[in-house]
Amino acid sequence: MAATTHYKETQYPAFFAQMKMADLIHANSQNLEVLHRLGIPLGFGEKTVEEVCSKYSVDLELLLLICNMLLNNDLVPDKDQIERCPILQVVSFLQQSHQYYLQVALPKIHHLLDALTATCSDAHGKALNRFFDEYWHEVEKHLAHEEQIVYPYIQQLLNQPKKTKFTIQQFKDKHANIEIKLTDLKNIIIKYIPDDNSDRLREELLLQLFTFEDDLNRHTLIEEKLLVPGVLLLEKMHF
Amino acid sequence: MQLDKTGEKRVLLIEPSPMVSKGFAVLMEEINGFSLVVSLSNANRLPEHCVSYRPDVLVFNPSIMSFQHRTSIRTFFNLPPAISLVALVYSFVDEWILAQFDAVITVNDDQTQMSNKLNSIKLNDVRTAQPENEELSERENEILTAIVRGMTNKEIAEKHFISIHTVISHRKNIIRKTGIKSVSGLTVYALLNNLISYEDIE
Repeated sequence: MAATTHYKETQYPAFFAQMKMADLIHANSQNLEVLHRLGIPLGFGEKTVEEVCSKYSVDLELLLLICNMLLNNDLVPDKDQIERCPILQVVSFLQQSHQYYLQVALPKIHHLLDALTATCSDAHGKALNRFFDEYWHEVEKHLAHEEQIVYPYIQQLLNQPKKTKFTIQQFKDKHANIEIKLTDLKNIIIKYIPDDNSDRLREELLLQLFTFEDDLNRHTLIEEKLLVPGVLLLEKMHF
Repeated sequence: MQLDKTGEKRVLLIEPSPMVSKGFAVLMEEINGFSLVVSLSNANRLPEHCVSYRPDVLVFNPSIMSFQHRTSIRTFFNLPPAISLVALVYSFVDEWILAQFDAVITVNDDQTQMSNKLNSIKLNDVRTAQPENEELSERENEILTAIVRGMTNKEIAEKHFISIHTVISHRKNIIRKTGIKSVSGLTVYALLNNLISYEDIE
């Protein structure tokens, strides 16, 4: 990539303020979802990451941190970075991914599953749909817990001293595992749906499931390495 | 690049710190009977790596697992029972997490200690071992049917005249073979394989 050659001395971390925003996406397509969830639309021409961030009032350091963390999953933000991190922007980033899961990702999967079950026998189709509905409901419940309890708690923590008994530690502990049924569904589709002519459909559905799973994993990564440590710091300030 | 020296046990290392990982590799060179085939910095795609590198021993730093998965490393990665698990630790790790490992190497161990620990584990030869039948046995299908009908371990044990311990071990094998952990997932499996009919679950 042409742009990176100008910035050899700063190649690590991979993404930095003075690179072109367009190159950030070319370098890792996952950054596309990051921009969207931070509220940055496409069409930034030749502007740098820094310029685009300031145009949309997005915290530059946060954007770079998230992009670098997604590229290198071993990267752990240090204490200063956590301290400077605008926690409400992290929350809004996570909320945007919730929206995406419920309004785009899961309906897309549902649509493909519907098409697939149409090729199955009635009983098999009904069982698959029922399983997926159960899974969807579980995801909804998990996300609703974060939206209704965890995020308002963080909001309140910023405004005034701690009142509730809830702590972010409980969120860490409660962090229900919504991956189990997703893996189950993948195995069912890979291994146990009788073979017929629906192969193309099945592959497409599987690709969506894998994509969704990867997205959830990235979501968890940001929660565990950025949100939770950030809120822990806030909690400490109030004691 | 695989160093398949004949007769040597193949070791796969998962360790995030490059310093520790390089040091481990240097010490391993001098240990007879084992060769390090690959070092990974994380457990992404571990099941695939297990297929391509065919390790006999997996040396694994438990700190790379997110907290909710640490309790079931084997099931989480769907590791074949033939692979031995060794923990590599340099900070405090709960006893109950370490209990899943066949041995524990700490970062302060010297070469002799490492070698003793590696040799202490009862190794199964992945390459010469008969491939296990991965189809569910008749018995496992019966237990699975009972599970999806909502029977408890105790009820299943009584009905089939086996111990609860045996029921649990059947359950583990069913989960490992199918890759399905939830009861509702197993229900779909049972339906697709005509072990039950839709009316049974309505």
